[in-house]
Parts: sequence; C-alpha cells; structure tokens
Amino acid sequence: MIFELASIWLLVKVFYLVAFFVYVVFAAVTVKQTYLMTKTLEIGLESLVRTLSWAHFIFAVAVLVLAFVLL
Amino acid sequence: MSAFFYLPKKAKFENQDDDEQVILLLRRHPITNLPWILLVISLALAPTLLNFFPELSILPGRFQLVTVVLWYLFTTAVFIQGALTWFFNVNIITNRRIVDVDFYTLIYREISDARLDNIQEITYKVGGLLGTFFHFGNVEIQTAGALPNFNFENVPNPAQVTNILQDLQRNKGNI
Repeated sequence: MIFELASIWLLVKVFYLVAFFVYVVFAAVTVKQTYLMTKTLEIGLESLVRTLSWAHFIFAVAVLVLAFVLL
Repeated sequence: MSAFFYLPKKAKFENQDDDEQVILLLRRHPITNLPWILLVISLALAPTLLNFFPELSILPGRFQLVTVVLWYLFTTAVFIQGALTWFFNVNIITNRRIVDVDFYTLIYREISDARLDNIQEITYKVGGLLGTFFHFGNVEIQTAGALPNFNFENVPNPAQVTNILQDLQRNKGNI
C-alpha cells in the first residue's frame, strides 16, 4: 500500500517535471522566435525584446530546477 | 507602442531596398488585444479569487505550490504570445510597395508584398461598435493579375491609410 502511494506521487512528480520541461522548450522557441521577428522588423526595441526573451528562458530553466529540488 | 506610425524614423524590415522609405507602419488597434488581455487578467486572478484552488488541498504542500507556479507560467505564456503576435504582425507602406508581415504561430511567418503600381483598388470598412467608437477597420487592397490581395485588418484610421496609399499611387511614391 505504502509502495503504491509512493509510486503514485513519483508518477505525479514526473508529470509535473515534464510540464516544466515543456515550458522550457516553449521559452527556447520564444527566444528563437524573437530573433526571427526582430530580424524581420526593426523598430529600435530589438535589444530590449531579445533581452526579455532570454530573461524569460533563464527564469523557465530556474523554475524547472526549483521544481526538481522541491518535488 | 503605437499602432499607427507615420514616417517612422527607426523602422526597417527584411528585404528593404537601400533607397526605400517606410511611410506608414500599422498594427491592429490596441483595443483588439482586449480579449487576450482579459484572459490573462482572469488567469492571473483565478488562484486568488478561487482561494488558491481548494481542490488542490488533497495534494501535499510542495505539489500545491508547484501547481500554482505552473499555472502562472501558463498565464505568462498566454501573455507573451499575445504581446509578440500583436507587436510583430504589421502592415508596412513604403514609397514603393505595401508589405504584410504575419506571424501565425511560434515558428511560422508569412511576408507578402506588392508594388504600388500593381494596386488596382483600395477600399476600407469600419464596422461594429468598437470599430466605430475607436476608429479602426479593415483596408482591402486589390492587386493586379495573379498577385494576392491584401487586407490590413483592424488598423487605426483606415480612411487616412486609404488616403495616404492613394496619394502615394498618384504621386508615384512621393509624399
């Protein structure tokens, strides 16, 4: 019974980590997308948009690591 | 963060010719962002309004915390997609052509253009409560032959956009 309960939470933990990993992939694609967008259209805010996309990616990785430690 | 830039100083786009000047840069009117902004606000307030999801109490404390973090990440994703899509989906009028830049998904983009002398007919439509109240609408541009037609959707001041395009056509690209 205890073993079953432990494996359920392990399964839930894996599910959560996969969800966070998917978000990291989304953040990486967003970085690529902003590079593509700012290359297509320049209006003077390119470095700000790129910096924000990188900050978002680093935040997503940090949250994944945090989830891994917490769960 | 405007949606109507007349003679923008810093605007450049891919494949722009050296002696080509951007006359008008258009985005959808900011009010058209209201649906996704309301969605983001609802998503952001949901954990507070629903008292941090009482259904989650069956989960251990650390799982509850991580669920809320995941929820806010999803909210951030909706915000980022809405903001980027609005900001980079633009219509450009230069002294030589019209350019339509569309980013449909994260990795799919479509850029189409037509020279000013290929434009045959320009019509604009303003409709609906919001369109009439905030002065935005669609500018439909028919081009010659097999070239695709253009539709500048929900742009501010469609009558002024039409006038500028007609003036450019008449004056062969001169303002």
